[in-house]
Amino acid sequence: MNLFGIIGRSTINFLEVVGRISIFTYKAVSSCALPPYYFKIFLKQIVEIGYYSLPVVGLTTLFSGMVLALQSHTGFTRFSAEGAVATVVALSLTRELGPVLAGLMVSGRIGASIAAEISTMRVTEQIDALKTLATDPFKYLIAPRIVASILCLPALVLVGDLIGIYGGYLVGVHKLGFNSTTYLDQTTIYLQPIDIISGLVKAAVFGFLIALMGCYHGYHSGRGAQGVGSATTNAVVSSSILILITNYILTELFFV
Amino acid sequence: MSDSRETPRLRVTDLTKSFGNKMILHNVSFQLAKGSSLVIIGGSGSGKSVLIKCISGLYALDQGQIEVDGKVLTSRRNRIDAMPQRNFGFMFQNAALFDSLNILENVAFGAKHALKMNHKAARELALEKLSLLGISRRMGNLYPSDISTGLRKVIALARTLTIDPQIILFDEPTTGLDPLMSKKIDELILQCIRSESLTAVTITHDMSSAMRLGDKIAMLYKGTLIWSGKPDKLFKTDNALVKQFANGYLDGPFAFTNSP
Repeated sequence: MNLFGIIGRSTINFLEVVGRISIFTYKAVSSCALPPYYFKIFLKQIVEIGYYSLPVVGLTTLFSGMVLALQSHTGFTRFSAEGAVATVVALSLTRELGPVLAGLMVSGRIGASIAAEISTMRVTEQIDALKTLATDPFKYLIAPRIVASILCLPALVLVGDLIGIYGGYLVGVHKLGFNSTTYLDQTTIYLQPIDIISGLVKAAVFGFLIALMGCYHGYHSGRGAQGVGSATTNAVVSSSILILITNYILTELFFV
Repeated sequence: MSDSRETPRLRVTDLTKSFGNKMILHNVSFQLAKGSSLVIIGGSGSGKSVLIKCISGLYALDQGQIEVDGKVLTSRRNRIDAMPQRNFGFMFQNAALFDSLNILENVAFGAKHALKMNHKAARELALEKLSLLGISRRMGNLYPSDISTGLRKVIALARTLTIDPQIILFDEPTTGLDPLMSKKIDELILQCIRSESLTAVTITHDMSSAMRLGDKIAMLYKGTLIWSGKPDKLFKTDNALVKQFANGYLDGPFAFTNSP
């Protein structure tokens, strides 16, 4: 095949995937908006995505906050700006690290799990069985996961932010010798509502992307164990990449 | 394929289906009277599963028409609209029970979602169907992974019956079962068909099962219906392909798909 052929085929394949994802997204979003609603499954997903992801997100943000305090202290000491450590920890966590790290961790945990579950259902004809029992798989399987993920990620990020800031506080006060009251003052004094809100909005968008990619790759998985494996890998990789790209776009929208 | 002069319960006309460039079904037509049972036999890859998935609405048709009681179900997009059906019950080859639900919840699923029954009524209907098929109430708490393949098929049958379908489609109901369990499943299927006056389309390559279940047997070969008739005519036919397949001869004109 000549060069033009390769470029043409790649372009067509790319557009085909984009088209398929767009149609899937449209169907998924409209399924979230229109009844019937499956509250029991939605609540189960809230527990699965929100509650069970809490330890992972909490640990990640705790240590990130601690490392951030140490590193910024090392850097700021060079130009006598140690006082900014608490502010830097708080701003970094609420604006960027909280939502991005939580998004990536949840992507690994929940995106993979959603893709594996739905692709197994696809391979074992359980999705076809849903249709023959007059149940729309988009409303029964996909909508509850997407809505739960959109709602849970901001909550996880909020808790993660607090834990991360506490991690920074622990290192700042007990290791670096900051005064406790001063550290807390420095944490809150420059923190504005937009810093927290932007992080929560980012988290909601990441939640949508994680669930969407998990559902999409699961729903369109190939046959057999290999199909399930590929669906899981693709879900995690694509949602992680989308999180990083979307993070940049949202940051520009909020702060530039 | 219907003896009755009244409107057939199911009429399939010129059903054609391809995947990419590969034609799977070519102008398949048949009709079935209420309460009759058609068994479609054919080798692996002959298009049997695709045929009943097209009839049930799981696959869109490339061409053709499907009618139930004279009413055309296929839309302009050649698809049977949505899943509301209730015209069709579908029992899958591997049962396709929902892993995350226990047996009782699996059986009650159709009643809850297709018939919009409340939780209690759906549960009672599920228990009734389970008892009809000889499954004890205490088994309702088990999960699909806890039970045997044969039992999973019985549960799948119960789940299919709860939506009160007019027509049931069976996708290789006895595949993977020992002869005794196969016979048991066949008997349960016959019991359901007769007691509820259901119309059934079964696809199988298990000849004993085909002979037990069918009022009529048809053979699908390379996507085309090449023969149909009463079960007692199957082994007496002059059609060399049918004769070879029914008797299980290796030598003959039958072209194996994916042959070794």
